[in-house]
Amino acid sequence: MIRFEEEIKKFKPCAELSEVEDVIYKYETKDIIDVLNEMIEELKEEKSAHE
Amino acid sequence: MNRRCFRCGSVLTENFECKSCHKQYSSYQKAELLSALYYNLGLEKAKTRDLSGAADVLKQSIRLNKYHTDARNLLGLIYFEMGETVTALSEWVLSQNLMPDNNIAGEYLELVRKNKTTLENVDNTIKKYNQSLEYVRSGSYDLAVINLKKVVTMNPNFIRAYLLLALLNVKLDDIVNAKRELLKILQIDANHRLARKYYADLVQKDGEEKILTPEEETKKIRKKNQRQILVNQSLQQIAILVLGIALGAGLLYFLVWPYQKSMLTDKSEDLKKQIGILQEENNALRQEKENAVKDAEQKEQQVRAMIKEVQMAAQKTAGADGYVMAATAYLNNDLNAAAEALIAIPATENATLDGAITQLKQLVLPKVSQAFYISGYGAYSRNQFDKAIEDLTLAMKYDAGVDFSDDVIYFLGRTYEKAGQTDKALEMFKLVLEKYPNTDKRGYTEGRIKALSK
Repeated sequence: MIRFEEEIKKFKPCAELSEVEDVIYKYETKDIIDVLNEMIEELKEEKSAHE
Repeated sequence: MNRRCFRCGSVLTENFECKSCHKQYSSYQKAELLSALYYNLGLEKAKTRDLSGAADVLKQSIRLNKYHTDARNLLGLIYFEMGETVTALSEWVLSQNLMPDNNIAGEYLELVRKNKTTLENVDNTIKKYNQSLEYVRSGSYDLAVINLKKVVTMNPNFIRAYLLLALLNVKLDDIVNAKRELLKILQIDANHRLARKYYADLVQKDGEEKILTPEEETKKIRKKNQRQILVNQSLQQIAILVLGIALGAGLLYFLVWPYQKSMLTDKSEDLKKQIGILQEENNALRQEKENAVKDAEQKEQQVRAMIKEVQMAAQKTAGADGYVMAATAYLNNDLNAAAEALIAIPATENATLDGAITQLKQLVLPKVSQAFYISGYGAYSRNQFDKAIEDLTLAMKYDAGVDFSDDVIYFLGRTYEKAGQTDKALEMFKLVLEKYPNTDKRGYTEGRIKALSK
């Protein structure tokens, strides 16, 4: 059964054309390789800190 | 693309090999392969119009490999198709940034930029959609519906707007319209999860015996529409036919009929003129005929008068000739021929001639009549009835009113009686009584009539 009040919460305002730049800046462009790289960098930093 | 070595940070070759560490990174390769796999899957889904499904897997593809330009560009196209223009533009801009060369995203962006009307239209629809959302949240559902209807008219692929419109229709208990809006979404994006969920809920709420899948519903609607189109076409054809007839009638009435009417009027006037002329001619002919008849009558009268004159002249001539002939026969002692000639002379209207003829008749006819009477009576006495009838008839013919005239007729009657000719006998007896009522043979005559009448 559709519950209007709950369903309507799922609707968010649409980004307007003037906000395209913001949208792009906020866009998470990292892929899994970038994440792995970050993790390795973090590990390297931890390692050097211990040494 | 700038993939770097985990260890030294050097840029890797295209085969993901670090020339400093002399190590090849297969994990990069695996990630790219997996990304490609997701891209293929996304492409398949996009081809079957499973846009939201395709968007999901394409997102996975670019999360595995952000440099997969095709996956990102396709994702942008899918967002564009779903009416999410801003998101689509974002994907293409990023794609262009990550891979500036030989990237079709540049062309997409250029196309959108060039078409300013489309951009303005997109911006307006987004603003109206956001405004509608505000209306909904403030409880102005009717205003929201009106606004959203404008939005979907301006941007017919804007799935969010259809979805919100469907939800509002549900709220306003307009289930038919809600379903219609949801079906429109499913025509754009065949597997839109929220639309499917709403639709299934509405079908259950509607209490339909058979729950149709959206595809079946779409087919059903299409069939119905096709039927409607056929009916409409038939109606259109009928309407065109009726219109055609009406136009034809109109043309006939407004164009042809006045022409025909004027033609007929002209013809009628011509005919009237001709009738007038013919009537005049007829009158003239009638007058001529009347004159001719009068002439003819006058001529006929003239001719008749002439004939009369000629006849008179002829009679006079015949009378004179007959007299001469009779007188000649008398002088030659041929009394029978003289009597025959005298009997044949008509009245001449010439007193002198008529007197002469009368005098001659008195001299001739009694003698001749008497001679035939004697001869006839003799034959009667001898029962020679034919001879008696012949002679007595001649005696009667030349009768000049002498004293035996009644006897002549009486004995002719007796002869006929004896000869068995009763009718003629009766006729003669009645003639005796009629011409000579004082005859001495009256008693005999009446007796014979009585006897023969029985």
